[in-house]
Amino acid sequence: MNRMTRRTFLGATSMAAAGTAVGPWVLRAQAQGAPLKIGVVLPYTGVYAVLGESITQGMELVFARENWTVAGRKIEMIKEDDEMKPPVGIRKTEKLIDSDKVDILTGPVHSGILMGMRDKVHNSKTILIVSNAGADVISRERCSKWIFRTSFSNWQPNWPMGGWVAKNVAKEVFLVAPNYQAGKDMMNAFKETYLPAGGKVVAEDYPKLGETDYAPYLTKIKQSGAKAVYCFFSGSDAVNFVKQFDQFGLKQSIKLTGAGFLTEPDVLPAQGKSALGVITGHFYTPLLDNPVNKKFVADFKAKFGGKSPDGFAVQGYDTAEVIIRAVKAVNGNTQDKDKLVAAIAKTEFDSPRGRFRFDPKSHNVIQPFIYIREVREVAGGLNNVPIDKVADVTDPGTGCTLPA
Amino acid sequence: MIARLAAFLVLLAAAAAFPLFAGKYPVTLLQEILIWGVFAMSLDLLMGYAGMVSFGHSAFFGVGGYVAALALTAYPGTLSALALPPLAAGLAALVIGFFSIRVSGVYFIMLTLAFSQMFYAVAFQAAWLGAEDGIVGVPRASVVGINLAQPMSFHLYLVALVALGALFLWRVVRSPFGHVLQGIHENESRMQAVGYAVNRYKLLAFVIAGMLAGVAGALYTQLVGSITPDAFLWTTSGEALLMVIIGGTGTLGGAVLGAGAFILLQSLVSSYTERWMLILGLTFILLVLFAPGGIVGALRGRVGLRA
Repeated sequence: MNRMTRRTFLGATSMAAAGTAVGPWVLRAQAQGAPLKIGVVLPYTGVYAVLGESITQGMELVFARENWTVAGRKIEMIKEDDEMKPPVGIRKTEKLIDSDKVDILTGPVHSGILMGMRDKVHNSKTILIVSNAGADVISRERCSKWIFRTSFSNWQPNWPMGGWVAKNVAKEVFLVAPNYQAGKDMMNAFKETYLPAGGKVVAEDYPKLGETDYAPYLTKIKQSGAKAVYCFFSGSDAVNFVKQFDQFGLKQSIKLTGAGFLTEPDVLPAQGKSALGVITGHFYTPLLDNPVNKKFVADFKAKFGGKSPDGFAVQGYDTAEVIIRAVKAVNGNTQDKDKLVAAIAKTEFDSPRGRFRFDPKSHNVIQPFIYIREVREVAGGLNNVPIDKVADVTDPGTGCTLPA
Repeated sequence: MIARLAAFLVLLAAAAAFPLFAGKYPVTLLQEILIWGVFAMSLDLLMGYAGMVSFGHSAFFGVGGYVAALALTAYPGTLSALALPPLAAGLAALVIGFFSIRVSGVYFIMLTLAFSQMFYAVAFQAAWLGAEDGIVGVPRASVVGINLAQPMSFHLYLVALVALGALFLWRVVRSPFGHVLQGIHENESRMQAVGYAVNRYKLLAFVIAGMLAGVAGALYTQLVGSITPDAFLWTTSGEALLMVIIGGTGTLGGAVLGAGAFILLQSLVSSYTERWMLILGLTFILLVLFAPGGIVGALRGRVGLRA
């Protein structure tokens, strides 16, 4: 048995003292004029940490501009690593809601985590501003008065591409996407406009997620007689597919098109010249010619060591901008949640991607434009050059009825 | 013996009364620790007693979780919450076990891993299982007349089930059956030579462990209100494996302690630093180096706890 020495006694008593000292402080923090607590659930470790980092940097850029205060309240970001694992993300969400009592919650990247968070925030009436996860249902059957989305629904970047590809690229297309629900959803969104525009889907194929060898699929594409490929891949899949498509010699005869994630800045350097000429649809590219974006790109590069912002950074930037503007509109009073929700829904401003506003029907962002972009070599390397755009892309929001 | 039972009852009472003096988040943490504790204990039965290191235990956690989600959504009630998940998980364990127990060591690890990844692939793609979004909005039903929508009744229900699971496993490892399992662990061919139908014992242990893992999965679905394909992922098995090793292999109670240590480290340390994995890794290395028997092993030396 251990006897209680002086040291363990001192340790125990100082712990107890610290506990009593901290207690009242935690209680006081809920009062008005206290810091505005923003809970952030994002991946900060693992392969998706780069996304979490970009989103966070976009947010920090806005908050730093406001000197970390809004309507007389100090802004406090409480960042939690969700590890891209639903159990962890949901646990962290509960911590932020119940223990930290955050005023506003934001995140996640993973759709599964978002689906798990959905009921937690809905039932506890916590305001959640989704800054990445694209699950369509959050703007449809499973929408909530308390949930907004500044990023995109999976449907949004794909739907305008169907019509555009039919008109400008080819009437015979081969569809490829990873074999999971989001991949199929995106292909279906593409078909919604591609088929009515006279396009014909020659064939479609769904390799497994994380496939490393696309040779069998590329052979099928070659033999199919399709004039173009429309695909959705991201991360390492995007790198492998684009490189192998080029190595197979398909690039000369078949045009490669897809959802914007295919050639985002997180994969473009690894794809290198293989990505040249690839056409994708996305709500953003750093090359957009508007004053807000020019300032955003310059400020972002200055603050984060020359790093060029990507779509994820814009999602973070817009999320923070929405928070700042809405909290100002209610004069810092976040206790009246109905008023705050109304203020967020009405928020409108010039974002790097264009005029930002929410769809009152679903609380999902109305993409001011989906830009059709082509990978070209411009000063300083490869980039997504905007060549056309489709305005006001609004998710249909089927099945969503928000209470007034 | 009596001291142990008393200690168990005190712990049980403390766990049951926890919501009376703790906030919502600590209660959720405790509930998760208990659920993972059952899951880790069921793995410990295989690892620590029968000597079968399974890397596919997530399959049964996931089956329990998914069956509970499907059943509770369609028919909220006792059958859906308590009976179907362990039965389905047990059935899955019977099938997987039938093939896997024929090999041992690395091959056993690989086979179980492969089976669990197959479940993952199916859950990730099947639209009727919600694909990668999983099944969400699972209600907490009324079970044996208790309305689990009440947070306190759910807590007591959870604590009671975990306690029953722990008692059951404790009985199992102390029964003649449990001793045969330990004998197989020590020397499989000798047990065979003595005349025991080794494979039958191993299969039964595998099914029991699978059913309890299914209970844990079902409890998890009810706690969170959703289940995603990640439940099947090998990392779920890996984390349970870590919990067992941290707590002390072959001790049952250690598995719960390991679950507690793992989840507290993961939840609390990661709020302060993004490098929490480094701290977890260092803790793990230190434990393996200086306390190869895990937390329980380290405690035994100090407080005079016996095996």
